[in-house]
Amino acid sequence: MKVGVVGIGHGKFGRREDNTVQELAFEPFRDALEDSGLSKDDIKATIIGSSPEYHKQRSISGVVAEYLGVNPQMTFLVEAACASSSAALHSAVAYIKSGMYDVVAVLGLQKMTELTTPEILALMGRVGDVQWESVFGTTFPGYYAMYARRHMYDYGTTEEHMAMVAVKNHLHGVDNPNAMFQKEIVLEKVLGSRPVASPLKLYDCCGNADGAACLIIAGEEKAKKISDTPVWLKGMGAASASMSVLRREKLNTIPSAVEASKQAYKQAGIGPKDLSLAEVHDCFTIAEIIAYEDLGLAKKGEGSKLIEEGQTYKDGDMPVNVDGGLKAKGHPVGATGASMAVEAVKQIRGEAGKRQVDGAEYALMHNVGGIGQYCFVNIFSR
Amino acid sequence: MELGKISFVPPSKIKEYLTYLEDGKIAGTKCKNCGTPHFPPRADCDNCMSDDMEWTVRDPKGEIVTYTTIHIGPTGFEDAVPYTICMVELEGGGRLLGWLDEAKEEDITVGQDVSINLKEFEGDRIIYAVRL
Repeated sequence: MKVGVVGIGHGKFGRREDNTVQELAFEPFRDALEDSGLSKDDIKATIIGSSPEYHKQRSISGVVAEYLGVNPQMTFLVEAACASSSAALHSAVAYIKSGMYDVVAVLGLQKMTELTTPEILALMGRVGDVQWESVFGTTFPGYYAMYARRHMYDYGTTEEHMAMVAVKNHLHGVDNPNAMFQKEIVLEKVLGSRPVASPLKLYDCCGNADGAACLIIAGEEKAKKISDTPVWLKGMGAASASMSVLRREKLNTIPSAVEASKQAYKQAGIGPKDLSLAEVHDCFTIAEIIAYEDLGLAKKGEGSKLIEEGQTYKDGDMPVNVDGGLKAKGHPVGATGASMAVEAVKQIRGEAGKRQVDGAEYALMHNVGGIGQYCFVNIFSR
Repeated sequence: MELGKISFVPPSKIKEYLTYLEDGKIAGTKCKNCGTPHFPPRADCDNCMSDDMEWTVRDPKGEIVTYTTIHIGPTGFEDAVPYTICMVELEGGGRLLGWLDEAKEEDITVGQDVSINLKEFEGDRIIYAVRL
């Protein structure tokens, strides 16, 4: 059975201290309902993707479902770190395919500014394997920095290449009103920014943000009844890799991304060359370069060439992160996967405004959880 | 004694590891059923699912797989920044993270041979000190 997206909504990402999580969730949920033409009684289940450790409210789905007014329909939380809402989408698709529910809402949400800086720093020190790695003070940027260092050694990638990714995504973000940063930056600014975890600097890192995004999905027949323009999930891939980076054979590739993308391409019956655009998980600039390679957009080791030649700009051969990516949008951990999916659907519908990639036919999203412990790759098309 | 600057979880089923460390040795486990070596040590074999393990002392030498210098440290490490974390592949397999010692980041490169030294730290801790 084909599964289609029939409604989308995307809230503003950024520092939204004055809003509760449920208020953040309400905006894209309402927009997705309006977009689909459905009423909330049509939604049989609401599956929420979020990383619970950032919220003061425990068991967040309870308060969100109440605020959305979807009781007594089923709801629960799915967690896969930065890929939580992709995991939620994955679960939702299984419900649709099984026939258990005919219409399901997927809601990615996160409020990261509820925590104080010391609380954030405490969380940051526990992103890796806490038994063998965190005891030496690893951090999230630190892990990707170790990846970056190895990629530089193996393939000649430079700090300039990484900076180019930041410049591109910030330029793209200018045209995204939902982005946290809508401001161009220059290469020198990235290269001159303060070190975080060498070789990564402040502008190699995405920003913590608050935000939410929502998708409403349905099976083929139902989707056609609801919408004249359903966008189909043509290929879905999901995979995992060791939590401990000590157990990763190579430090220049995310193995779960390679596996998930293989599954997605196979199911969609296409290859990387058929893609019109890709939304990739650029939590750090090096992550986008590695994603080019893991997704087959570039040969292994040649990811830096893609950005150097400008091919991943909106007008290039292989536009990547035309909505600004995590880099410019900000990264509300649990909302990021849903945000990528919403952009992919907008692009396929031809509704992306200034960001629209001409004639977009196939859009891929690549959402990585943690340092690749989880990866979800989805391909959308008409 | 415990490993690293701070601990987040108890030493678990493989706590004998710490006894080896106090004795100046780095040890891993090896599955007595299928022979799979495990480093860092595991109490349970994910290859054959056996929990029948023996300890094997490892050579404290290896080469640098990758490294980074942390400038913004997490809670408990604020006073240690900047520190350089090295990932080292031990001779004979298995990897560990440790802190670069008696050298600067500029002095090292991927693939470089290093030794792992057990350094007492803040009274009751042991650090893997990575030296050239």
